[in-house]
Amino acid sequence: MNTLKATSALAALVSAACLSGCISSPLPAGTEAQLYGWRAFDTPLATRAGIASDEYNGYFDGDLNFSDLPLTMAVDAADPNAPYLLKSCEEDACYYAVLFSGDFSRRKDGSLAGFAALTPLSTAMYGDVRDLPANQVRPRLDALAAAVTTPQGPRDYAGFIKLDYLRAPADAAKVEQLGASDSAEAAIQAGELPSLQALLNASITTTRELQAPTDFVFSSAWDLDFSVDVSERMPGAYLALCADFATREDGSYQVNYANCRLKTPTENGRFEDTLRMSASVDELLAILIPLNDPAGSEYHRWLRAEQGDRFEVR
Amino acid sequence: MKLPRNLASSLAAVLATPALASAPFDSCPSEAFLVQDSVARLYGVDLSTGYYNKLSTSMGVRNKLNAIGFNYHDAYLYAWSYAHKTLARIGSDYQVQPLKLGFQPNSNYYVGDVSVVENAYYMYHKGGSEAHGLWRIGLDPEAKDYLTPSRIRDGSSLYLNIFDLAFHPEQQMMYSVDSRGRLLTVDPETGKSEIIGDVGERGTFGAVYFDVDGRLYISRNQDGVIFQIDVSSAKPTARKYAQGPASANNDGARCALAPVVPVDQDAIDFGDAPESYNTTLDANGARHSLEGSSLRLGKIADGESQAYPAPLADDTTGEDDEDGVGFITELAAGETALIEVTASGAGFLNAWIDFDRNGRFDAGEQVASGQEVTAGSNLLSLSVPVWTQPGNSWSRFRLSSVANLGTDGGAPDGEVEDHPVTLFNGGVTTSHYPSADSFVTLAFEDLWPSRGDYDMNDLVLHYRTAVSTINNGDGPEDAKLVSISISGEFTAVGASFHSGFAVAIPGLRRADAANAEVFFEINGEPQDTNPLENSWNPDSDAIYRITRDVWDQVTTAEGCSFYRTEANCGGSGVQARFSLNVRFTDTVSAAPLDDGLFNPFIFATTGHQRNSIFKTPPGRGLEIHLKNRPPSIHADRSLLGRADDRSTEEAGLTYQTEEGLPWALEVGMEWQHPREYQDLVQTYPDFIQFVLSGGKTHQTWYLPEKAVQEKLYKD
Repeated sequence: MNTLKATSALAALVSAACLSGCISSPLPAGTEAQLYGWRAFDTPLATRAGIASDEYNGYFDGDLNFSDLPLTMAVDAADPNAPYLLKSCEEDACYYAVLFSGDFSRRKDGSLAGFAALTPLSTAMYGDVRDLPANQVRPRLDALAAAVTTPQGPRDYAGFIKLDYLRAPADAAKVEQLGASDSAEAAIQAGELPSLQALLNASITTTRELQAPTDFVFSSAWDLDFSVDVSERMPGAYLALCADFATREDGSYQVNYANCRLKTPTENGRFEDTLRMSASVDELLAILIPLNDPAGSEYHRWLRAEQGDRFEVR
Repeated sequence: MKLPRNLASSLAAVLATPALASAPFDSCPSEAFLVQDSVARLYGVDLSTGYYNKLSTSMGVRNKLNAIGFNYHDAYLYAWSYAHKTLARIGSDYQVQPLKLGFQPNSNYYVGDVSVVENAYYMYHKGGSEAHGLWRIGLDPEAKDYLTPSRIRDGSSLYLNIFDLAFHPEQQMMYSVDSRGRLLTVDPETGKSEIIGDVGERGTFGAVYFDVDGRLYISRNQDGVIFQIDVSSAKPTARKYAQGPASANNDGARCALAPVVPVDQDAIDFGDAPESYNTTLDANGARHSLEGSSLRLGKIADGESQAYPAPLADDTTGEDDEDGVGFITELAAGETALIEVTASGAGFLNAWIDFDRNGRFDAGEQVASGQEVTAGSNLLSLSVPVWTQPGNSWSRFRLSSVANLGTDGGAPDGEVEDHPVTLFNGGVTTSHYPSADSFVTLAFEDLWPSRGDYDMNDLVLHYRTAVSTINNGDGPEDAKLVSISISGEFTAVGASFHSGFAVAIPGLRRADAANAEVFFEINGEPQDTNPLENSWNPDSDAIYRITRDVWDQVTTAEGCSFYRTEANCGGSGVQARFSLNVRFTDTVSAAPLDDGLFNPFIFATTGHQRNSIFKTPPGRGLEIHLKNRPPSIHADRSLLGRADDRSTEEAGLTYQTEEGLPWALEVGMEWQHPREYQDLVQTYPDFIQFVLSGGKTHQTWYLPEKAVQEKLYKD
C-alpha cells in the first residue's frame, strides 16, 4: 500500500507550484527543517519552517522555501556534487533528503530555483549513505534511485529527488518500490532511520519476486567506444587490445597475447570501433606495435573506473 | 619391472669390500646404463628423452670400464674392468667386483653385452692378436663353463669398426652400427657377421641398446644424439630419438626386456598437437625431460607419462601449460607476424608452423632454427609465406639447451609447447568476445513459456565468439567477413526436457552462409553434418545448430538424474566441447553483423514431450532466447505470449515475464551455477540489487566469492 495523497487533478499544479525553490515535506506546516553541510551536523547552514498555504485548500502545507538561501551557499558551491543534508523532525519521526547544489540553479533575481521532495524513500536513501564520504554519496544514491524507479522514470538521483510521489500520481507512476516507501514510513514513525538497501533486500527472497524493467536484459556486458589515432607518429602500427596482462616490477607489461579482445592492423595508424565487453573487464591495455621495430611499441592503459566507457589513444 | 627414479638413492649399498657380494638390481630397469670417462662413472639414461643423471661418482676403480652389459638372468651389470683387466660384476651399489676367470685373455675389450637367451657374456675386440676376436664367458654358476672365456671367432676375420653391441631381446643375435653407419648382426654362435643396411648416420656409436619391442637405440659419442632403429624394417633407418650426453668414451647397457618408457612417469613434457605432427612417445613425439633443468617456456610445464594429442589435449581438460608463446599479431599470408616467446632462462628455440595445413611440420615451415633466446620476453619476427593456406593449423615451439632439435624426438631439458593457430589470407581484424581465451556463460531455464524455477541450470554453457574481417576499402562499411568462430562447452544440464542449442547470426544472410566453408567439431572430432539450418528465406539470419539435443552430448554420473547440477553427481568434468568455424570464400559484407554475442538460444528437440501445456511435443518451433533477443525464422510465433510469457515481438520485448524476468542469462565469466532447485537470488544475493538497479550496481553479482557456497554446484 502506498501513501499517495494527491489527486490527479492537482498533479500539474503541484509541479508548477514547486518549481520555485521549494522542498516538499510530509510534515505539517510550521515544522522546522535544517540544512546542513555533509557530516557537519552541529550547526545548520539554514533553518526554515514549513509554510502554510491556503491557495490549494492547504495542500501545500509544510513545504519548505529555501529560495532565499544566501548566495554563498549551496548552488554556488565549487563542487556541484557536494552533498547537503535536509532534516525535518516531528517528535521522534525524522525525514531526511540529501541535496546537491548542482541540482539547483540561481535566478537572475538571486533567488534559488529548483525542487526536491522530502519523502520516506529519500530518508531511507540517506540511511544508506550517512556514513559515506562526500565523494561517494552521489554514485550510491544514483544506484539506489535506479533501484526504485521505473524505466520511464529518471533512473538517477537528480531525477528521483524531484519526484513528489506522495502527492503526484504522475510522479508515483515513476516509482517502482512504493512498498519499500511504506516500510520506510513505518520505520520513520517508529523513530528509526531506515536503510533502503535493507528494505529492498528483506522484501525479496526468491527470483520470481523480482521486478525488472522490460528493457533490462540482465547482462552486465557493456559497449566500449574505442578509437586510436597515432597516424602522425606510428602510421604502420599493429594494434592489440588485451585485458589479460600484468605489470612487471620494472613497470613493463607482460601481456597474454593468446587472450586478447582485438587484434588488427591499423589504417595508417587509425582504428575506431564500438566493442562489446563483458562485465569482468575493468582494465585494458592497448598495444601499438610498429612491426618493423617492435621495440618501439607503445602501451596505453585504460581503467573503466577512471575513464568510463570510452578509450581514446592519441 | 619398475625401477625407482634414482637408482642410487633407492637401493641400499651392501658391499663394504669387494670380498662381499653386492646385491643385484631388483628389477629389469627401463633406464639405460652408460659408463663414461677414464675413471669410470656410471650414468642412468632415460632413453625417452636423453635425460641422464649420475648414478655413481666412484665405482671403486681408478680406470675405465667398458663393454658393459646387463644380465637379465641374475640382474647384475657385467663390464670389462681396465684396472683389473678382467670381467667385473656390478650390483646395485655400483661397486666394481672383479671376477676371476678360468682363463685370462691378455687384452682389454670395449665391445660387449650379455645374452638375453643364454646366461653368457660376449666381448669383442678387432685385430689379429690371440686375445682379440669375439669371446664368450659363461655366467651361470651351475654350468661347467662358468667364468671361462672361449673365443668364438678371431678378430681378423671378424673385423668390425664397432664400439658396442647389443643382444636382441628375442633373437640370439647381436646388433651394432659401425662407424660408417652400417647396421650389422653378429651371430654369437658362429661369430658370423652380416650387414643389413645403411641407417643414414655415421659416427662412433659407443652405446647400443635394445628395448623389449626389438628397437635398437644407438648413442653417438661425438654429439650425444640417440637414434632409434627398427631393425625389423626392410630399410632400417636411424631416426633421431633423443639428445643424450656426449663423451669420447662411452659404453652402454640395458635390460633388453624392458620397454623404453619415461623413467619418471611425471617428468616429461609432451606437446599437444594432433598425432600427425608426431606427439606421442610411440610416434617419437617431441618431448622434454623436466628433470634436466628448470628451463621452461613461460612458467608452467606439466609432467606427463604420455602425450595427450588434440583433441584430447590436457590444455582443455587439465592444466594449460601453454603459457610461453604469445602470437602478438595474426598469421596472415604475405604479412609480417610477431610472436613473443617467454623463456625462463637462456636456451635455444626451434619452432615450426604448419603453414600449408598438411598435418606435418615440414622443413620449409621452420620459423626458428636454433635461435638463441634469453630469460624473459623474446620477440620472434617472421614473414608468413604467401603460399599459406588459410584455416586452422598447429605450431610447435621447443626450448632447450640443445640447439638443433627437430620437430620430434626427446630432449634432456626444456619444454615443448604446441599451439593451435589460425591462418589467414591477408591482414585481418579479429574481434573476440569476450576474449580469445575466455568465456562468458549462458544459462537457460527450459520451462518457457511457463515461468521457471530460476535455478538457472537447465542448460549452462561456456561460450565465446570471434569475427575476422578484412577491409581494403575506406570505411567500416567496406569490411568483408573472413570468418566467424563460435566455441563453447556444455557445463550443466539440469533438465528432464530435451533441448537443442543453436546460434543465429544477426546480419548474416542464410544465402551468404550457404557458400561458406564450415569446420565443425565436437570434442575435437570433425562432424560430418553442416550445422547450418535450412531456411525457406535466403535473407533470414543464418542459424547454426550446434546440437539437436544436449543429452546427445552428455551423460549423467552413476545414480544421478542430471548432468553436473546435483550434489555428489559430478566427477566426470565437462564432457562436451564444440567449435564452429565458418570461413567465407565469397565477398560478404561484415557491416550488418551484430555484436559478438550473436543470438544464442535453445529449442525443443523434435519428438520429445515438453510442458504440460503442450498436448504434443512442440518440436523445433519452441525457442528460448535471451531476453529481448528475437525469435528465429523457425520459431513458432503462436507460442509467444502463452502461459507466463509476455513477449511483444513488434516492440522488441521478448522472452520475458510480466515482471520482466528472463528465461536466459548471459554471465560475464565462466560461472559457477546453482545446484539443482537452488534459487538464483538465494545463491547469489547481489543479483537482487543488480536487477533492482537495472544493472547499474552489483554488476559482478556472479563472482564466486559473492555466492552462498553451499548452494553452488561443485564437481
